[in-house]
Amino acid sequence: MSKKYKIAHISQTPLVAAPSKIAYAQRLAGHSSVAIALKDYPSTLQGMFVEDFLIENEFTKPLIEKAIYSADIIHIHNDIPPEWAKRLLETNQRAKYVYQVHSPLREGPLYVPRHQSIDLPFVLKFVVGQFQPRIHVDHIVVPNIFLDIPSIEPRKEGEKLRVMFSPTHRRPGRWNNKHTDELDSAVNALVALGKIEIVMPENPVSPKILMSARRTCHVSIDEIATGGFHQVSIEGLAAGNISINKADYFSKRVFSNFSSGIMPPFLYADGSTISSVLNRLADNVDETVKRQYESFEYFKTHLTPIKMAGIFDEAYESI
Amino acid sequence: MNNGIYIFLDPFHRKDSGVSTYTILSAKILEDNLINTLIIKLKHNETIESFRLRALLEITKIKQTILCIEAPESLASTSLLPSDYPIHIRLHCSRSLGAFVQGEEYNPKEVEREQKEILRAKYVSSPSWAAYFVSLSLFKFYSIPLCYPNPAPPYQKRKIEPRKHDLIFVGRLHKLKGTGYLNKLIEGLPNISFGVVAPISKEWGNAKHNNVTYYDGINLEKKSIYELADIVIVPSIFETSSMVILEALSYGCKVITWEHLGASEYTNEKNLIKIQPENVKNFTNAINFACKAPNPISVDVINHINANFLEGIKKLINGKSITYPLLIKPNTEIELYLRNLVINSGKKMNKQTNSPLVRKTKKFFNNPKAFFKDSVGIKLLTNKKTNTKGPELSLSARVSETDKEQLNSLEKMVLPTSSLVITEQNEKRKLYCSIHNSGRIEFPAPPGKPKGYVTSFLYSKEEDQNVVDDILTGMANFIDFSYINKDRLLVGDFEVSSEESTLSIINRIDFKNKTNFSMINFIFLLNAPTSLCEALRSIGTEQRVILIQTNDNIDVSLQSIDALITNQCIKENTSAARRIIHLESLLNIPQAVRRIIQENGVKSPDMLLALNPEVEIFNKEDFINFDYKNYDGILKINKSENKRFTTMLDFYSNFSTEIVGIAMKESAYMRYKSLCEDIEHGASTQKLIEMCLTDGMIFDVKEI
Repeated sequence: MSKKYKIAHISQTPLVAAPSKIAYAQRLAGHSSVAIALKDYPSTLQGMFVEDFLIENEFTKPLIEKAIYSADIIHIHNDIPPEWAKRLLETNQRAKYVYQVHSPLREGPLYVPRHQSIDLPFVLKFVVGQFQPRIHVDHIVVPNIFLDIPSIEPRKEGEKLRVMFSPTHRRPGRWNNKHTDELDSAVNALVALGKIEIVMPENPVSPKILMSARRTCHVSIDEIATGGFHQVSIEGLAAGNISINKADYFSKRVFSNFSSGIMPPFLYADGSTISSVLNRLADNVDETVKRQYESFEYFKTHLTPIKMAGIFDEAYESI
Repeated sequence: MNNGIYIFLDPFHRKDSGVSTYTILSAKILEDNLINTLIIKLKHNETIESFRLRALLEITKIKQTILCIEAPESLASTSLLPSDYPIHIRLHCSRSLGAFVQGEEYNPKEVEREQKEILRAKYVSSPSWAAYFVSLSLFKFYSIPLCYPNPAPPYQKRKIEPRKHDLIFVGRLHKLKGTGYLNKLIEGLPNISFGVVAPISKEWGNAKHNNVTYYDGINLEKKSIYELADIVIVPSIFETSSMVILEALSYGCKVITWEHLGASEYTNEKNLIKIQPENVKNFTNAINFACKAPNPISVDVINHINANFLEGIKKLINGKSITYPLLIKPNTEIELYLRNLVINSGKKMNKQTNSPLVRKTKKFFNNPKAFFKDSVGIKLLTNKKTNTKGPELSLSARVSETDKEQLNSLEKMVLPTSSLVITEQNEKRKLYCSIHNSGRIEFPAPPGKPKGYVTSFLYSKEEDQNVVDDILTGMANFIDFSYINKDRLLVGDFEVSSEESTLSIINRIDFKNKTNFSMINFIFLLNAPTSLCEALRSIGTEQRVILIQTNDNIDVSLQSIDALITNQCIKENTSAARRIIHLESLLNIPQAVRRIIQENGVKSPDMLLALNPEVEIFNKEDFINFDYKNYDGILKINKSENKRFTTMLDFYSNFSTEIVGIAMKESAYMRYKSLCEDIEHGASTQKLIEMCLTDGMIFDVKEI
């Protein structure tokens, strides 16, 4: 049995709960792990991702102090301010410091790797295993963790194809630009023809409500613009959806690092093929169900939180 | 007789569309010859995207054997159909080609989409050799299309009777339709009565001549139109075929047109009088002559054209061999004229947009302050104030009459004094930006982004100014390459400590200035520290940062730049250099700068190139089926087990040993030219793959 650690994850913002999910999975695997966020997101996202974080106030301050003081591993995500780096070092010089980058280079808000400018003695550098590793080439590839219990609602004969899809706006950047004109027009046309049904809340809802809605769908469409894929695709697998994206070989190959070399069963589509792909699925219940089960089985077999936590264990043990 | 169905897609479906008329006529002839047809046409208010999708849906429901799915290249209406359908693209002249022929701007995305359809179609045909020759200027073809005529409407017997006009012009009053020639003919033939049948437009208001009568073409029956006169003139700049010519012939009219228009290839009979391109005098003479001669009966001409159309279709779908040509191939002179037609239009377009009058007028309206600031008059005024030692020349002696008027009005204006005070240095080099060693870094928006690339040259404040002068003068000396001349190059300077971190520099640039800076395509930095190169490269995703290194004390991080121009020995391992140009002399810097810009320019067509082509890894199918839109290249790899790895460097090390072939688009090849050349000389592919993926290139990976 592997060694058990006391781990403190620290990030400036909740980073859509990625650090707290790692901490949760690590607790499932027997570690003592806690996630600390320096502050919550502002405005509409406030409160949506912080339920499993410690955010410093009078009550949590001693808990945070204790977590830092007793940690074997202090795991920094993206960036922290210099005063926090100083505080950590003053509190705990015994711990091993680990850095993990979540954001891509040459795109906002994190433009260059910050581990060199954070005044902490990092012994390991991690990068989220989707498209980011091709930018941070010398970082150890680790997964985003998903705590969802996999489920499936197979499409029934005569049932309209239910598609979860969120239109996006153009943003600058190589990997941030998720907008495709053809996707919007294909979806609109197929809805108008009565071939598919779109599921998407009009206003922001919590991740749990979104996941509940996703579980009733058959297809989740991620972006088909960049060649990468995002959380939506993995959540789609967990919900027994067919996850449609434009992920290239390398994005999938990197992810297969967490699934015994098995590539994720995403369905490829680009701007010129998205309408025919959706149309084909709309017409073919058998194919939809077959692919839904492939998604479900893949998630169930490879992406359980404990297995994912094991990948971090391996890296920690190499220190 | 064929068992199956011939499908036409009509993405226009307009009464005045040549493609729509062609589609209806073609379907009629095929039905008459026992070939079942179906026309899928654009519905009212339907978008082209929805039409493409509906076409796919309707076609997938068809149970009969599909003989052919014919569509024009324009609007790429077949783009959603799988390639195993018998797609037939007919070159009716796309909107982009039409724009290009007229020297106007076209949409490269549309061309790319249409090109894809042309390359993947099972059949490609052309209504004339002319259409093919002109299409070559925008499109690639794997083989020469099958050329056969467009069908003509059925022959209508014509009564001999007095006509309202001597001749008519039928069509839109548009430059492509030859309105320029039409006006010349109207002016040159005051005694000839012209009927102009066109959709109502503002051009009607220009009817100044007594010998012209306008008719609303939309509301007239064809028969009524062609009974207005015995002669129809078609002076278009270009036509792939010309439905007006075919209709005119079928109604028994005599047609006078240019020899290079597509329909001129349909017959040598006297019903169709062909004039040498652009020879208006001959055109005028032909009209005078034709007015005096009777109209020959055209029934045989129509039958001949329609028989050849049907033969063309049969050859296409049955592979039937034909021993005689279906069209009269133009002679070499006409072929050259057609091939140059687009090139000449492009030159005209450039001339038009580059003419000083056009530029100055645009500038006056877009940026009046800059207009006056940069005008000849103010420069002379400025010189007068600053150059006190120079000869006192009278303004009137140095400005033209036009400039005098401008100057007079300028002198009446009250301009802020500061705008007149330009230091000698700034007058010499108008600095676009100046990066100091502290404080905010500002990049003004490039002044009115010109067509093409925006290029910037930044040098250290400590740099030998003579070196900077020499480089700038050298760059300005390229008469045929304007991106780096004085008018367009954005010159700036910097004083950044090599101790300052990349992040610190980035933090000194706010969002607005990042946006302004990202409008620059090429940034050449003379002896800049690594942190500045890295920061400028990091604040956007598209701009290329090129370091010019002439100083041995400058550290170079090849990861942080897109290209290096140097006369130094490189300390860092050069296997990481995307592009490196070694200089034999500093005098060669301008040529190296130019080369970098040319290499990284837009490639059209952006051909797929195999590295080490002598090793036959890639076959014809790879090139035909390559998805040019979504990928930058193809990697062929040996199929193997997906092993665990820790970092991407670890992965690349193993992955590069599995690669058996690399093909890249020309644009990608040129971007990583040095790395590609290394591979062609036997180096590992690891660094190329790493750099390409770091920069966001996408490869189609094929396991073999």
